[in-house]
Amino acid sequence: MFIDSASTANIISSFFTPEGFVNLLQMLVLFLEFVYLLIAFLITRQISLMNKSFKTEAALLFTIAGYINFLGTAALLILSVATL
Amino acid sequence: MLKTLYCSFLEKPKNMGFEGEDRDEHILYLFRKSFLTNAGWITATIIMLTVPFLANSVLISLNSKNAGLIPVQFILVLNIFWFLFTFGFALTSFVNWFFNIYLISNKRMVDMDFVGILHKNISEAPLTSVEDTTSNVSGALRTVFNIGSVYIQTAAERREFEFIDVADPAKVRDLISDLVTEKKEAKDVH
Repeated sequence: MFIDSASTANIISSFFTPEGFVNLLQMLVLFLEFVYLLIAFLITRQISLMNKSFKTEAALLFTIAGYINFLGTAALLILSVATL
Repeated sequence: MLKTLYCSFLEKPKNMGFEGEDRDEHILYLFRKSFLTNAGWITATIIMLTVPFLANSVLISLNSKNAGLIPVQFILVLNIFWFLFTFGFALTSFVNWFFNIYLISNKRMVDMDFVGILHKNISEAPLTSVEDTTSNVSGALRTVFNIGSVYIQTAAERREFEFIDVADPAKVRDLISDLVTEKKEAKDVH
């Protein structure tokens, strides 16, 4: 698909309208949610490593908290893609 | 269980173990950084929790002036995301404090370090390899709350162990040096 310079300029200029700015913000939030989903996954793996290195009664509590964070972020990302 | 969540010093803790622990081995002392060292992230978390209340009032006033410029769903998503992020921040800060431990068992000394979410470092040395221990308290706040570091010189591969920001470092140094003396005397007898 060929995009000429005029349509590129239109796309760019649309970001400088209030609606375009809000759309840009929504895309940025979606991107940040995706990045945070990866971080939340790393947190669950790190908690699992920590529980393996040092065993305590609170291991299950930390594991559940880690998964709440990860699954909550995944659910939010799906919700965001569906509604925004 | 609740006590183990906030204690920075435990003597002969029950229902705890570490990777590589021998069958005839048991934990004598467990040290962490003083709970007061968590003040920074706890304050940051409280501030982060108040941000949506301020931001929402700004977004709502923007919406009332510009007739629904910002969709309500977007405001809701932003709020949930911010609370999840705050929860994740508090969780990682807490587990980093909780699992950064210094263990003394009846056989060895173990230093577990977890930095952020990507770095893990575990060092250990037999108690008989400990040569000398030094405690140090410096700075106004540390002096007020009696928080400091204990440096342990060893003849093992890792030359120095640092127990950083422990509560009552003089007591920790004394406990370690008594234990090491006891171990060395027992070894000499055998």
